[in-house]
Order: sequence, then C-alpha cells, then structure tokens
Amino acid sequence: MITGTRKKPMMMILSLSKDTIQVQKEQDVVLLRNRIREVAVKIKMGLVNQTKLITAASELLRNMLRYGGGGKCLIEVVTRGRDNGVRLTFSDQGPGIPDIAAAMQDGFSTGKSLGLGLPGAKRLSNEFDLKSKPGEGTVVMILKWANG
Amino acid sequence: MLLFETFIKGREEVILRQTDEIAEISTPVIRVWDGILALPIIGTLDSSRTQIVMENLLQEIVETGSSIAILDISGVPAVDSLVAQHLIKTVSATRLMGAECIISGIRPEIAQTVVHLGIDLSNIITKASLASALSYAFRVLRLEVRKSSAISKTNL
Ligand SMILES: Nc1ncnc2c1ncn2[C@@H]1O[C@H](COP(=O)(O)OP(=O)(O)OP(=O)(O)O)[C@@H](O)[C@H]1O
Ligand SMILES: [Mg+2]
Repeated sequence: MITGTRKKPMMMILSLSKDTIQVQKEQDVVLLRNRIREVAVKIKMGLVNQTKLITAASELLRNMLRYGGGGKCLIEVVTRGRDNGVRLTFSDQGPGIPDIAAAMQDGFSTGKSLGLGLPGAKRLSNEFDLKSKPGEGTVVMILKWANG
Repeated sequence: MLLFETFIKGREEVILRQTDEIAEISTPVIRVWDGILALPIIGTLDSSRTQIVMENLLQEIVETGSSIAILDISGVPAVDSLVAQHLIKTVSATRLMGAECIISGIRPEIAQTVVHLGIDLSNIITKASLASALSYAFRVLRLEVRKSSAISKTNL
C-alpha cells in the first residue's frame, strides 16, 4: 500500500478516512459508484472532476470483475497541505497482468473490448499506480484532487 | 440460521426481479413525430439494459417505419468505455435497419470525460440537447416548425 510516505516535493499525503467495499458482482458497481460520489461531494469536488473520478473508478471496477474475479476497493479521503482528494485502491487476487506496458496502451485488450480502461483511467486521474504479479493479483491506485 | 439464509435469499430474488422490472419500464420508446422516435435513458446503461433498449428500439423502428431515433442520455450518470460501447452498438444496429440514430443530452462533464477516456464518438451524430436533436431530425425530414402569422382562435 502507498501510505503517507510518497516522494512528492515536501508535503505528505495523509489519509483522513478509510472505507473498504467488497466488489463481487455487477450490482456492486452502482453501489460503489454512489459511495465514491458521496465522498467526492463531501470534499466539495467539482462536477467535472467527480465525473472523471467515477468514470475512472468504473473502468477499474469492471476490470476487477471481468479479469480479476472480483476484489475490493479502499476509498480514502486524503489531504496534502490545503488540497483534499479521493484515493481509490482496487485490489484483486486474480491472474495478474503479465505485460503492464502493453496493458497500458490504448487499444490493448485481451477481452475483445476497446482497451481504453487502464490508459483512460490514468488520463482521468491526477495520480495512477498499477502493481501486478502474474498469479498473485493486481492493485490499481488512483487519486483525484478536488481541484485537480 | 437456516431461516435467516432463506430470508436473505428470498429478498435477493425479489430485488433481482424488481431490477428486471425497473429496467423494462424505464426504457420507453416515444413516438415524438411521424418518423421520429425518442428514447430517454435514465440510470446506468449496463449490458442487460442495453439489450432491452436495443430490442425495443429496433422493434419500434420496424413497427412505425421511423427513419430517425434519438437516444437521450441526459439521465445517464456516467459514460465509461462499456456504456460507450453499448451506445456505439445501438447506433450500428439502428443503421443496419436503415434508420439514423442521434445521441442527445451529452452534458459538458460527460463530454470532457469521454474525450479523456479516449473514446471516439466522431462517427456518431451527437447533440447537446433533445431539442437540438429534434430540430436536426426535422431538418433531415425536411419538416419546418414555424410561428404562424395570425392566431386563429378556432385552432387553439
Ligand atoms: N484486474 C485485472 N486483472 C487481470 N488483468 C487485467 C486486469 N485489469 C486489466 N487487465 C488486462 O489489461 C487489459 C487492458 O485493460 P483495459 O481496461 O485497458 O482494457 P479492456 O478491459 O480490455 O477494455 P475496455 O476497458 O476498454 O472495455 C485487459 O484486456 C486485461 O487483459
Ligand atoms: Mg477495462
């Protein structure tokens, strides 16, 4: 897990609240998206950023269900200096991603889909981190600042 | 314990059934004008919902001989790559039936998100509002909406 010890210039990212939600089926997607929206509204995130965050989350959730066999999502409100943001960590114990560089390319898909989920989620977020080991699982973290 | 599980199971079944029912009642096809259909979509457009939307739409196109369908997504909270794919598929299917499909109700935040996501909707006719989609459809069908010069009381 990435905690407050990032090598960002001077200021640390602190976690203010944590909430873990299990995601095992399609119906959990709507529930989780609503939870994320609630948190985003609470820290006064603007509508455009809210929509970007929820859309990115939606992509990662679907990947987790489709390729990772379900998993969990950690929702955190984080702060760095005066900025507040929402950090989401999706983790599954699925097959993992053998070639991360390839998976991050626009149009790469092993599921005959658009292949836009991972690269798109990265573009929609302020920070993005993907860790994966074949046979062990995948952890994807995204962070969106309220005014990011 | 067993009783409790049965109870939970029962509730789940009820919820699943209601989900199906909601999906069906919440995807009406409206005949807005001769030759023009409109489908306001409210809520999440998942795979099963898209299936219903597409079936209803194609059916109505056949029944009414409509040549233009307007898919209004102002009530869709987010357009991710899956929803976008569903929209693209629906448009393609409509075209195969010989009709044109316009997507309306693309809110500014949705437009920005779709662009960042990298989805290409340039092959689809999109309009910001249902009203502008409708006026586009009128133009295609060479229909004109005009203010009449004199108000005739008998027509009111
Ligand atoms: N959680 C995961 N576990 C295992 N493999 C994954 C996971 N997430 C993504 N992948 C792999 O990375 C590929 C790229 O993912 P991405 O979300 O970019 O595209 P996609 O899901 O195939 O298509 P789209 O998201 O556009 O519908 C997937 O096809 C899959 O092979
Ligand atoms: Mg995906």
